[in-house]
Amino acid sequence: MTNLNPKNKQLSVFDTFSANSLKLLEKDVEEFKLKYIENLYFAPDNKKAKAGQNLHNFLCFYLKNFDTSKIETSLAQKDREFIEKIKEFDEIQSLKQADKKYIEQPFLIKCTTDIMPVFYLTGRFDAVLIKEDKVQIYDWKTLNIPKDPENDIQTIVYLYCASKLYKSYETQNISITYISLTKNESIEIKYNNTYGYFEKITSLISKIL
Amino acid sequence: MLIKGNINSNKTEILLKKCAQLLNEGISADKILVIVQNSKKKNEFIKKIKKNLEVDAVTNLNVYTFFGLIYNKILENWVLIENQIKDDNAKISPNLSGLEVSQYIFKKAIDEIQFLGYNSKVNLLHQLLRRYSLCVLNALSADEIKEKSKILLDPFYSDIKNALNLYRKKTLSLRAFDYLRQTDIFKFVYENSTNPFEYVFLDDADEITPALFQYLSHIKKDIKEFFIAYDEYGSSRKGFLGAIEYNFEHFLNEKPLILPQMQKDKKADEIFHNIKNNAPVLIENSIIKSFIREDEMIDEVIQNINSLLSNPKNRLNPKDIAIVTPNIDNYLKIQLEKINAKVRFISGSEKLSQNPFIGSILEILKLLNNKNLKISPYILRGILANILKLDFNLTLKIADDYEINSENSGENIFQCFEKYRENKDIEEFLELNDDIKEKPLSEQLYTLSNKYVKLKPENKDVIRKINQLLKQIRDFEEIFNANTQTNTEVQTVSNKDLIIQLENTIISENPLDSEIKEEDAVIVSTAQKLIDNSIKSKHTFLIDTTSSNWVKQDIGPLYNAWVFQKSWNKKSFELEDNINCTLDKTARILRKIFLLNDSSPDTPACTSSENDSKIYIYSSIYDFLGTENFKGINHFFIEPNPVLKTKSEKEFKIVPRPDQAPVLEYKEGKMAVNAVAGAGKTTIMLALIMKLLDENIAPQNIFVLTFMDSAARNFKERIKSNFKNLTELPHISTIHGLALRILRENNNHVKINLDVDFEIVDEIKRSAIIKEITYNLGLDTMKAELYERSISAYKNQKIKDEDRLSPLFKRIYLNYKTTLLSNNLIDYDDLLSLSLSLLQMDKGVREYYQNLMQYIIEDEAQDSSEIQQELIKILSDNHKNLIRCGDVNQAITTTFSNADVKGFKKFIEENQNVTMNYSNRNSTGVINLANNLIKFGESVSKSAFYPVETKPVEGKNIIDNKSAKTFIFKTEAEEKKFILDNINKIQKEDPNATIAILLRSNRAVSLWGEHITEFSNIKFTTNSDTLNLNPVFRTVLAILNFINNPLNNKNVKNCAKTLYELGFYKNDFEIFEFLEKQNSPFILGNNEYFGLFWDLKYFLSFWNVPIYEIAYKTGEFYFSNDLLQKANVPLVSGIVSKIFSQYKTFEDTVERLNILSDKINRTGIKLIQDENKKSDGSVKILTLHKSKGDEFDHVFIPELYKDNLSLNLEDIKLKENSKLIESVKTNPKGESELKKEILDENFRLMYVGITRAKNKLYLSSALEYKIFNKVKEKTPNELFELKDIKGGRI
Repeated sequence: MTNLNPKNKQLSVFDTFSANSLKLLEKDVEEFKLKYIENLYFAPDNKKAKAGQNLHNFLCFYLKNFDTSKIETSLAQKDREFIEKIKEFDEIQSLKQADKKYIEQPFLIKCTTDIMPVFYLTGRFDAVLIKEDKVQIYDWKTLNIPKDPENDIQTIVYLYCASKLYKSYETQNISITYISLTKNESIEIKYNNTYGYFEKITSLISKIL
Repeated sequence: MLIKGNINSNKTEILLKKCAQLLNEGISADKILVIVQNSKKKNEFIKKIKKNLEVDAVTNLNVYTFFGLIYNKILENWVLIENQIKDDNAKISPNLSGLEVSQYIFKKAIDEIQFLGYNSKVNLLHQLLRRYSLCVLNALSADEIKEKSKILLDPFYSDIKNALNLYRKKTLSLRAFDYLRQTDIFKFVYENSTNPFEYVFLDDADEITPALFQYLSHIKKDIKEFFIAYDEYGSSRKGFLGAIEYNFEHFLNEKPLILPQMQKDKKADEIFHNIKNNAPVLIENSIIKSFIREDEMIDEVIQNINSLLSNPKNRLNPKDIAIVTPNIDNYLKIQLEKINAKVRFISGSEKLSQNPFIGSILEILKLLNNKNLKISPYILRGILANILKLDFNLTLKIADDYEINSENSGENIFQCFEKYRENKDIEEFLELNDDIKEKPLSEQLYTLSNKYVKLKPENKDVIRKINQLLKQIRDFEEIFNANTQTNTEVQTVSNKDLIIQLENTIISENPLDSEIKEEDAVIVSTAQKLIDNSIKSKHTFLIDTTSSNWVKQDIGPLYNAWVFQKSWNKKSFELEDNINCTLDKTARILRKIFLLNDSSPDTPACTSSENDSKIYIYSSIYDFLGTENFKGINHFFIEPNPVLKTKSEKEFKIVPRPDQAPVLEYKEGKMAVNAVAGAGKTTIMLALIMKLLDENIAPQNIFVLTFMDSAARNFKERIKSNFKNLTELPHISTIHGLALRILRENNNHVKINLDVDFEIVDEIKRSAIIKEITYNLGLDTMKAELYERSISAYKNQKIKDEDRLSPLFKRIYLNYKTTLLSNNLIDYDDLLSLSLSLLQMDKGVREYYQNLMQYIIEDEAQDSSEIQQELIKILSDNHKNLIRCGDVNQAITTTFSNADVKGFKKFIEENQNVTMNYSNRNSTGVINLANNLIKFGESVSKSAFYPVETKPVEGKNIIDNKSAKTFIFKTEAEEKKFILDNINKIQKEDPNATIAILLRSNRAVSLWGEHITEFSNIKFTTNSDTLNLNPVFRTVLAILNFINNPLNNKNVKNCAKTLYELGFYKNDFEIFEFLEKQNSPFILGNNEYFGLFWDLKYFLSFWNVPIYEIAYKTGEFYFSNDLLQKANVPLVSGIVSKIFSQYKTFEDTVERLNILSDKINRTGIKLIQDENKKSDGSVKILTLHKSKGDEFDHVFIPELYKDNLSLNLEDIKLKENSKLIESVKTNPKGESELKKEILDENFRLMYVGITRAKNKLYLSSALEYKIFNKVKEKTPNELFELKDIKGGRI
């Protein structure tokens, strides 16, 4: 990286990626640069996201065993029924009762490659359930679960990061489960030892270099 | 682990290494808490930790600012809080909103509390927020607050308590918490949740708040190890920002690791100790300079910076340079555009609407939500050009079309646009409008921004500001509009209301942290921001160092940052405490600034002699608006180059005459100097001040009181030119200036319950207020001026008794009083009486000034009122060195102002008196007449004059015993003709002769003006202080008139004429002829041939720029090379800004400026006049009163008939007005006494008039005058009977 032209200099400062930012990078390199490198964007309206966020937050409190009864009783009838339904999901019930679990687990993974001396991946698992020798990552979706979950960039980043964060576990015992809260659907994707997670990530990142 | 080291030490690196070590040893990141001071430091810390990570995965890096930690803890534990709120609604997530929302809620809370007697409704919110902030940051308990309120004798204690409780309740019910409200509930959160941390890293521990310290103490039992780094003399955020000193050794029960001290660190500590003890300090690498005007100072800064950067030997980057000032305003911003490098402001703020682009976006939002809104054509042009990017001519055409049709047929903006639909941009705009007009405001703004703001680096600032605004709007929508179904108490906020609410939003200038670091720009910052961000620079310019804002005290009527410190343990709060606390804080700040001045940012300190870093300490006597600075930090610094600082350079030398000599022999005590007209009083006073300075009396201990601001300015400039290196001048001001200083300095105003934003009502506003009261009470508004004078007369009583006022006047007075009070205004009379009562009431304040004022020199002492004399008496009571200069015989303001000439007479009689009775001004004939007048006056009324005989100075005066002549004419017309003929004659013989016609009244002045205009070609001026006489004002107004209506060629012509007369566009001489023939708008044509065309286009293209900024830019454009007029540019812009703040729109402001332009400048902003300008060849027509202090070669005093200026008691008639004014006084004088006073003053007025003449004096009267269309016979005044002066009776 001896190139001193200012644009590259700016890129070298940017070294931290998340599943979300990589998703944008996958979609549109220029847009990624505008938003994440140059910080040139208008913050989009987050009203819809807020509703999803609220649901996430509720689950988080509920799974952390906070007393959520006041919140539940004050919900509108429709929302309350919806929450009741979610609480009955198998995954939620087993998480609720589990001893070894992490709710809203952040992570920071340091990576070294040829293309960039070092870069970092960050993010936050909605929930992690440790059951014997298994590590199950959960991700709540308000609406749809990814269409092609095996090749979804979130799956790639999360499974790779989980494999680094939970090093003492066999990789084949790590999985990610997407759960659609509104549709009561779920899908589990297991870590695939033959899938080039890291290569996928680096080839994506190399797009901005 | 405890580490002691300053900003330049490697304390943070040590913390970093320890932290990385823990992580690398496998300690879970969840167990480590790192707290740093701000987000810039947070990002740096995270970045470095990441670099030092040897493991490839960790969970979370808990690196937080204190407020960031709170934010996260509240989100994590929200349910705990929700379950505590006692209402049936619940929210899954809180609204962690910004200050805008909480201020809105706070306003609603305040509306429900009375705050009876509190004087600034505007500032009340601000005061309460400060108080709230102090309580929260200091984690004060209810008992502590009560205790502290007691110390402060807090009159609003329960109102404040109720308001804050109501605010707390409302925010809870809305679940709306800004960072302070979050901090307020933080204690509850950590006391009711489990602590996950085992290791705590704390950097800059000296700057933390007690609230954070309390948290750390709470979790201490769970912590395996603390790593704390602190600076022993840090705590620069003491006071309002909440830092106090902590005993960390005691907290951790261990000794600190003391990092090695360099020589520079020792120097820094010396700076701290000296300043804390109010002793000066010598900084070897400093350059100290002081200037008269702020613009001169800034010019020097710019010049220094540009030359530093342009010299390749210096190997400097812009970011090696920092400018530190407490006053970051528009003027500074515009001026600094002249630096040849990028300039980055990291402090300061601006109103949203001030930014032309965002201002235009806001206007569109207004239109979207109110399609029939009538907008100003000026604003419309801004929208069309800034946002829709229409071309120049189309922009002007549409705006003009709209202006005409909205006026004539009530067409709205969208109907107007329909006509231009064929234009693609207009069509797109109309379609966009249809799409979003029903949407929430945030969505409208988001869509507009995406459509019209290009995502380009050059728009970064605008994008950042719009994002800030978007966040605020969404906060509002989220809290108010989403709550409506469940919460009946809350009202929704409509788009329209929301825009109004947000329009005045202040957006801070703070750029993103990454930008501060990455950018190569000259940094402009306040001291605190520079320190908070640890910005190092090699060349540090501390500017405006005489501004009192450098040592701003954190005190207001509703808060006191010192007493509200958690650690305050004294039982009282005195002026001395305030001074000491402020010194302590200033010492801490200046020490850190010194530490940040360093050649190499990456290495620890090196000694100052080894590098060529520099600290520039620059100040000016006056700020941009001509207000004088006082206090500041200059006196803390010793000139490093004392050789330069010699005694007076004697540019100005005076060899006193024998009658003047005793003045310069003055040693101590009280002395009166009674000087006849032309005796050189001003000169000798100046000599006396310089003598004191030469005797090494500290300038700040010398106080000089002048009658006029211009005189004060003149004194200062002359002293400055003699003592070039004096960085602090004596205090020289009017008595009102001194009174204002007493009220402002050390926040003394708090003691008389005045809020910090109190303002002095200027004459225009005062007249308007009284006129309105008169009107509202159904009274004759013609009498408003009389009431103005009566109110002033009443207020100037030593003892005031409202009960004895007439019911009518009492109503007017009380109305006036309430209006001022509720607007936090005081008038000039209050200024004196309030400072007097403060001095009488408060021992601390009194003794402070009595000690400070070693010498007091008062000019024009004969015009001092009783209250002024009382003030001076108290102030001089310690040192008792008081010199009062004046001329009893020139006391001509006693009857219409509140001057008390008897007081000065008494002073002369009771003290050592120097009479200066030699005058080199008048010709001998005039001197004889003046002496005769005194004798004659004495024979009529003993009290008219102080007996003194004026003598000429050998070899100086014109010897002409017949120089004073009287003339009596049959008719008024003959008198006038005689005078005009003579003026013509004089001007023919000597074109440089100065000539004046002195008259009794303002009305006479205007009648004479009309007469001369009609019957002669004589050039004249009737007033030297009208705005349009000033070239900058004239230029600015001409351009503004053009911008207001650019398609009207009349305005172009006016610009051409004005600018041509001032010497611009001399090459465009054909333009006048050209404009005569033009039928279409000049500005729309292809008139590139004319220079003016280009420049007018240039000014017009400042679309939607605030009018005062256009005024500034216009002034700069034309006058930047005119050393004197340049100083008037910010002043004129200040006048425009002042009018704009009252009249709100571009159009109304321009209209008002046109009305004011030929009136006397009463805006309170005084333009600088060219004192040295030789006679401009015009005859001055002015009143006798206004002639005081002036001199002319030839003086005409006509219309000297008996009842115009009676010198006989029987001829004096009392006006009804005088009686009424007298009646409001506590001890009104009887009619005969009043008549006697008028008689005495008439004599003195005559004396003043006569002594204006250097050469010839023409006194005249006619035997008949036309008064209100009736010819009346008149008898010439007694003066014509005097023996020696009989002249030509015609």
